[in-house]
Amino acid sequence: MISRPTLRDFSIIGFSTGKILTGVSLLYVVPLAIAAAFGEWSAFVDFAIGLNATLAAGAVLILLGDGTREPTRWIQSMVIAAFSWFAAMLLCAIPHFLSGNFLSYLDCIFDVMSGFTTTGLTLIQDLDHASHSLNMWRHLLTYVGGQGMIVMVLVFLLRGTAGAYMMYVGEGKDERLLPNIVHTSRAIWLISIVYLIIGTAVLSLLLAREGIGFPRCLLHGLWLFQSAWSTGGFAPQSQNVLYYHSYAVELGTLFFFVIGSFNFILHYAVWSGNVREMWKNIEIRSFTVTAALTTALLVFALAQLSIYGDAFILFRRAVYNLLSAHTTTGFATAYVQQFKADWGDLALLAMITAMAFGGSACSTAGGIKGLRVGIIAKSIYHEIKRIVLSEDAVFVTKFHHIRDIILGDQQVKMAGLIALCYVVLYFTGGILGVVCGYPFTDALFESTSAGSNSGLSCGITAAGMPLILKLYYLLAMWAGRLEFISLFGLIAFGVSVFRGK
Amino acid sequence: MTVMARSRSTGRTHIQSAAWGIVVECLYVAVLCAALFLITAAIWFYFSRCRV
Repeated sequence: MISRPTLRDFSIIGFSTGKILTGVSLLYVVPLAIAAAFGEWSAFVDFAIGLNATLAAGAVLILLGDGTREPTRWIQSMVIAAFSWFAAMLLCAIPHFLSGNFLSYLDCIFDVMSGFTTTGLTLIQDLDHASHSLNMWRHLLTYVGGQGMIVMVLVFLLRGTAGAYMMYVGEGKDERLLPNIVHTSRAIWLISIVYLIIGTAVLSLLLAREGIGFPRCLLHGLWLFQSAWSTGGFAPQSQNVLYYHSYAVELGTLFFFVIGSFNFILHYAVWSGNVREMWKNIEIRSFTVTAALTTALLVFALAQLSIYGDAFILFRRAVYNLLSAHTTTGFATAYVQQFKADWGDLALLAMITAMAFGGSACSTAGGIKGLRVGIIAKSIYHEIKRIVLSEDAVFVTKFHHIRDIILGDQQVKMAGLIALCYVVLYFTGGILGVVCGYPFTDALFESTSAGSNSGLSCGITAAGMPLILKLYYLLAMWAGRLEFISLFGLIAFGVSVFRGK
Repeated sequence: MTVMARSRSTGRTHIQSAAWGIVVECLYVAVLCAALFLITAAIWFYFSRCRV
């Protein structure tokens, strides 16, 4: 029997959502400061309105909610995680809408969801002339979304809340770095902030070397780092990374987005002196193998067509875009039309495969994830071994992820189930794209890009795209980022409201 | 966690361990890029020979 949620369930969900929104409202301080520093007073007012609306919504939910000390139940935590993302998306879109850079509020919501989920697909108009504060806001949302909105609030606001771990899981991060969840969240932020300082300094210097003056080089360095580290894909110029025409900037961003796609547990282990983990970890091995195979396929496709004159240019174009796709970043050094017109179907399929695999679990990246790909590959190896060996043979298959783990049925089942959900998400979008009149390869490319939170586009994502496709990509970004579980929780909660007894 | 405290297993301070960790992570990316360049060069060389 499905039990109907009580008023108390709603008030517990409302209270935690209110706290998360209050935490999110603190982020407005950054674009407000940038707007004041650069004299963008119109934008300053937009952000002040956004801050007040978000803070007011958070305060109302806290006042109406129930701040119980009892642990929240799984279903409540899942609903809090999914609903917080949805509410934050609606409220953080206010400055976007007031900026005049978007054609509708839905386009603003799309851009915010794309930022929070570290996707990078955008519907902004005239990006090249957008204000510094709006660019700061878009990249800040990407940076926070990469680490996790709930992770951020856990560090600053939800310390004493029982059931915090379940909300953390609901946000698509299901592994702990440390036994305590608040310490885990703090470690995630420490790693990200150390890299933020290093990355901004390195990229700013590289941009200054290319002739970009101060403070533009510092702002672009910060924004490119935030996007790279969070595997986001937003850039302050409409031509993305191609705008800089710099091999050094491409190499710099490549380093940061590949490192940004690593599991935070791996960062923590390597930073704690366990450097061997870098070579032994199943996710790194899985990523290395799939990156090599998809690169070979992409290079084969491009070399066959003789698009690029020599091996060096081929490497620069193919490997950068492929690793950007595989880590689900979305930085591009090829024009949107080039993907479609010049690269051909085989090259697009290599990119789609790379995007579908994605980065690491418990990281800023999206997609099926290296851990699941590794577990599925190990289980196939286990089954082949079982067929080859005699029926009486007893054996176990292990994989290494911080420690040696014996492959169990439950792990294989969960990995297979989530992978299947991603494949269904990608193909449903592909079919929907064909229904809307796009070629299947293009539609599958765009759908996989949205579902895996990659952000590369072959031209379908635009302000004038069909409404149904815009809504589907919005849902795909949300579902892909939260790894389905909390979204299923939200659906189950909605069903129990109407069908429960 | 005090940043100057030394690890019992490695004898390094936390800052030294973290810095070494960052170097190892960058090293991995460098090795990966080198390997992918070799794959690219091999395939490109194969096709350029075919064209001749």
